[in-house]
Amino acid sequence: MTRAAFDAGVRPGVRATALLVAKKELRSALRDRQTLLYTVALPLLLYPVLFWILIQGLTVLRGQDAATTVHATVSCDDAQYERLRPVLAIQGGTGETAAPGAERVEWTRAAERLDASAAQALLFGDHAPDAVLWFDADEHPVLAYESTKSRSVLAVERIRKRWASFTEELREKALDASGTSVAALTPFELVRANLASEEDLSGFFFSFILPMTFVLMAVMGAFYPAVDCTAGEKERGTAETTLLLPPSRVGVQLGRILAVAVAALVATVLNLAGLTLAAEPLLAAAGKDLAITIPWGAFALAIPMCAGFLVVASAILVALASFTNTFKQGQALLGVVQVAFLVPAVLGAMPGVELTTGLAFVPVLQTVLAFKAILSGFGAEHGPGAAQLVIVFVTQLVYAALATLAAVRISSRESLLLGGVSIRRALALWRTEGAPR
Amino acid sequence: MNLTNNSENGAAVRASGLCKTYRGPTGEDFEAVRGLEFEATYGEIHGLLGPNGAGKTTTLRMLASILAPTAGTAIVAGADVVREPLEVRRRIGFLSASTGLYARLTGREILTYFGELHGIPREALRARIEELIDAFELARFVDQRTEGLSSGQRQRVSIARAVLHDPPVLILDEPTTGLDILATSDMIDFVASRRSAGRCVLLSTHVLSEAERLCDRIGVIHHGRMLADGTLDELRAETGREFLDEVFRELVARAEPPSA
Amino acid sequence: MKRSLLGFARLVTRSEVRTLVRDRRAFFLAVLLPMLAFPLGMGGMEWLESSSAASLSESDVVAAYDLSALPDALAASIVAELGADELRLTLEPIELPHPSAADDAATRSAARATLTGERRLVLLADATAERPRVVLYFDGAETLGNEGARRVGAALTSLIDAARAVEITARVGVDPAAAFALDVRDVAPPENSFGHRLGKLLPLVLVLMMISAGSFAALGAFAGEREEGTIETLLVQPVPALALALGKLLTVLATVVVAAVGNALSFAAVTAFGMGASADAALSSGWSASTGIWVGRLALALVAFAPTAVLLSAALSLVSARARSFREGQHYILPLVLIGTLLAAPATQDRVSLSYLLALLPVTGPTLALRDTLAGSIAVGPLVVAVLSSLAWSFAALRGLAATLDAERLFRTRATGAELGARGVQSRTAIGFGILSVAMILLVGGRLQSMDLIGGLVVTLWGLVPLLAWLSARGTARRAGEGVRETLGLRRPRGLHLVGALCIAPALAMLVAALLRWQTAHFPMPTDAGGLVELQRQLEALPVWALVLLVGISPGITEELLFRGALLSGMRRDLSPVKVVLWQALLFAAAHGSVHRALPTALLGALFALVTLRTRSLFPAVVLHAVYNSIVVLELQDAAWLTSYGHAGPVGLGVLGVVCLGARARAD
Repeated sequence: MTRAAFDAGVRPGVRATALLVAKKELRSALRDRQTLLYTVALPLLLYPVLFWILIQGLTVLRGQDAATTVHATVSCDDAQYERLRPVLAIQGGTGETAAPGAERVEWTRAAERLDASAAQALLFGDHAPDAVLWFDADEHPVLAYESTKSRSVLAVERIRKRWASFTEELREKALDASGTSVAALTPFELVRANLASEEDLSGFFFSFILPMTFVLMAVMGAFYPAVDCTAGEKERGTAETTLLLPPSRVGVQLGRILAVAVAALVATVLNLAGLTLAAEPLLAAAGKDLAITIPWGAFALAIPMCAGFLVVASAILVALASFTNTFKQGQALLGVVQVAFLVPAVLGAMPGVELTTGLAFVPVLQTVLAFKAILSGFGAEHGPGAAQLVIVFVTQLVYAALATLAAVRISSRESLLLGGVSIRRALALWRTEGAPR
Repeated sequence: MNLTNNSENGAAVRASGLCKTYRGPTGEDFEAVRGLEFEATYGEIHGLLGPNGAGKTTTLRMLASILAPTAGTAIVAGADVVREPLEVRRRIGFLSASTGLYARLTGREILTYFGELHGIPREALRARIEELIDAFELARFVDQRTEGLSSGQRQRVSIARAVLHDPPVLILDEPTTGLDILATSDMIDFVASRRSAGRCVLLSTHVLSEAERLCDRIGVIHHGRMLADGTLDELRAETGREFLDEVFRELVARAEPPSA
Repeated sequence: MKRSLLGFARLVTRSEVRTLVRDRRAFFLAVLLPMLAFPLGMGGMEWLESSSAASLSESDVVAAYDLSALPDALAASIVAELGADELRLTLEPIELPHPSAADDAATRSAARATLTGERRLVLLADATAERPRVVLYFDGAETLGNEGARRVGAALTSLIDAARAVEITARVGVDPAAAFALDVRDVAPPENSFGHRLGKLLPLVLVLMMISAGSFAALGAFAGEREEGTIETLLVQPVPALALALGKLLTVLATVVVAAVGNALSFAAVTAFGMGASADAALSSGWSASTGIWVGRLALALVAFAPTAVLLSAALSLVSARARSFREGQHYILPLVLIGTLLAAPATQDRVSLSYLLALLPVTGPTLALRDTLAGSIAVGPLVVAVLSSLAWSFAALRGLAATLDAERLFRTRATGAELGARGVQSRTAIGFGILSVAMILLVGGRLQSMDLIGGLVVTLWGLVPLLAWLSARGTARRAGEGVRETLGLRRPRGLHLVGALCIAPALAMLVAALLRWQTAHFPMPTDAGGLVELQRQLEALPVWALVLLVGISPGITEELLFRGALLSGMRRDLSPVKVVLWQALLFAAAHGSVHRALPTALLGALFALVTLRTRSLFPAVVLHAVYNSIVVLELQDAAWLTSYGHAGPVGLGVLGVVCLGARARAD
């Protein structure tokens, strides 16, 4: 057979190559029982179990909280003590200690009446109480606590609650005597009327959680496949074979990125499913009966944007992982990658950070913010600006293309494919050593 | 440890009734080695010949005290593999085709590390390493990380590592697998040199020519059983065949009569 | 030259550390870079959070109002109050159709239509009710709408309070509450505030970073060694396996410690810098407070946290040693990260304080102790318990590690036919199936019961549970070569055993009730968690016979078939009776899915297992379970039903029952 016969044969184009490579990568990933186990079974089982533990733990903690008796010391003279009795729900005659009230605050009376500094000093002495109450020179009660101690915070919370209901009672009694009521003396009543529909509220709620979770899960889902098809390839010694492939290297790299994106998509969907499965009882336990009702229109907008992000993230991760020679080095990248994506993801989830024209250009952040805007404001008056959404869509495409190109260029270098070159040299993308044809 | 004393005792390795049974995931047993008996003496190269999966590696690992036998025992260089595994390890050198080297350490560091693990005093160790560097011509690359060495160079470091403490018994599990021609002949020379130094070499292989050329005695293992054990001539006499491959086939055929 | 165990371990550590550090790229990425990046990221996030909150509170909100229904003076005072500069509200008077009834649909849609452009709020006065009302319309699904509503709400509430106080004083002469106006002061010293702020996030950062850096070292030292093929060489050295394990563990520990110290320093620097930047003079003076305080606190924090470093190292080594390759190993790390996060999370919550109970938990206890130590509010008792308990946990992990590192396990390859695989295969299958069953009962059963309680209960008890029991029993029976009936323990019981089971049921009910009383006194829990009250209400609506059938007898039969039938007979084959009983208690408690009932159900599970093991038949446990449950159901109807018969009867019967059950089982 002559050479011409081969030339006349089909040499797959870039797109066909990409699809071929993607198919092979995905097939080999699916054949790995462990990968399957950890991408499919783990999210579906782990989240419900973790959340269940969380709920039960919270129950125990709440019970412990309620069972905790806090200790407070009061320093005052006898007359004030008599006046305080009903406030503090102090019972008993001599009044050294009091029976725990409904709020479980146990009061001790200081031996003598102390001035402000001496009273405060009690909080830092031996057998320190959780809060100290005394009267200042104007006979006004002062309550001191330490915000860094959880018991102290708990004590103040309980004393305040008790105090407020007592003073309100005091007013009611006084007004009753004069023949009116507190309500009658109120100039007007304030009514808060929330105009948002159930659907809007649910969208608003999820707009804080979903975009951030999506980004983090997509990155985690893309990470291992990206390492596997770069560093793993080198370690298995199949990198050379890849170099010898007849079709264009752009196609090969595109195929890898595609495979990584698909794997990330599967992982993300499964993780979100596991989370939903797990979150329902949690939300129910928290008394939030949030039906997951996100408008279809929002989904229609969000899906292409998320797909774009998956490609961006996959391309970035493949490019990054191309620098590593072994699985070990690839694994070592994880922490850095997490931080690099975590910060914009969390920042985007914060209330008050909204999609502006400037932020629409920032990678990763743009996705979170646009996703958030779509969820919270779809169809609403102050919904996302169409222009900004368009910017996000377009720039995402541009970033995806840029990252893909960078990945292609970086990982096509022979030196990197075969390992053992410095990062600095590999980064010099303008050099044309082993450049893609 | 007194080598001459050991040599006078005769057998360097004596395995008696050695068995190893693995249990499969569903509970059924798999007998890798079934009651192996054989002896090897000092100044002798004893080959274990058999196809893949015959139980050679398991046998050698048991003799090296890495695996514990299910039944039976073996005395290696005067120590019992079941009762004194540490003593056995002190007296043997072990090398297999799958043995790796720490990629990011240099040859000298690796030798020093294992020498220290063997408890060789510092000065003696230094001298011994120099000796090995001369003997195996390591000087050119001994201070490089092993990840950059060629496979032949790596093999030489591995050999030096195995004989670092001058063990009376050397156990080699398919030592030439994956080596090139030069490295293979280096390995063969090395094995022969151990014999002339009065040590015992236990060697597993499935390369017949190697066994024919090197081994003083050959044990043929198949399905975990020792089918025959003796010098090449003895084996020939027993089976009435001339070439080792025929000898081997004859032995296997005898052990497994064609099923009716 | 003879070396001690530790001497050998030191040698191994030296070589391991060398290997680790020489892979400069990996070491940099895994250990050094996170030291810079992670605390910066965490600190940065805190800063971003506060600055975004600040920018939100500084944003301008446009509010439209129509207060024409109010008296002019009142309307003017409201407008004046809302017009205050610090509220950053822009007020626009508009006219809206006056509502005919309070907050009707027409008014709502009119208000909705008004919220255009930059307008986020509409205030509309409404005089149709007995007293005048001001309705504040906003869009709760919008950040600025919520923020505006918050500001207006706060301003108007204080306006109402002030006006009320004036009126009261006018009527009564003096506001009686004024004398009791409480002045609450936070007197936390700056060093405590600084330590508290540091201690809130630091434990989580430390745990995460220790796991991430430690896993790098552990995977290299265990899984990597196997992949490189050097483990064989190492194992033929005349060194005890324990020394090898110890040496590798020390390497992991060293990495973990380096990561912890490095991250702590860089996190502290970020926190201190953040305070400098926010110009919080009081707080930043906390950092520069007398060094003596900080030396003491840091030393104590070290004591509190050091065992955790050992524990994490041992746990990481344990999972890495099970992996045959780097790739396999990293899969095992992720669950460890999640568990670590879950255990360290309580320390980020202000309301959680270090109690003796929490001090017993690994990671949680020490992280809380670390936080409280830095804030200067550590209690000695729980601190000691936390340190001791994490030492105990570490010891358990170390023992596990030594067991994993034997050669037999390490050479488990496909060729040698899943060595060890079969050791305890029956019990491991039974336990695995038990965990799966519990998950199915909780997830599927819980789901069904939330849709329809009665129907869900019926389907769970008579569909799901028997199905699981049959599936598990079939597998066990096939492996053991016996019949399913036999596996399920459906052997003819001795009459004496049935009588015994019947007799101890009332005493058991009393015992469980006492246990619950004790639990309520010492570990009280909210009673409404998980819709327990609602559940009880729905059940009480059923007639007694149906209840006894559904909640009494049914679980007695089907739950026993699964737990004491199928699962127990699998476990019994390779586990000691004590372990069987413990696993039964654990699984039975988990299947009930409620921490409230964890103690009683664990007790019941253990007892039923004991009865089954002793009598070698399932029927006594079925009788005991069914009768016990029925007694509880009847007590639900009438709380004093059982105790009305006095204590002597049940106790006497119980003793008799125990004697009966003690009788020898029928021979095979």
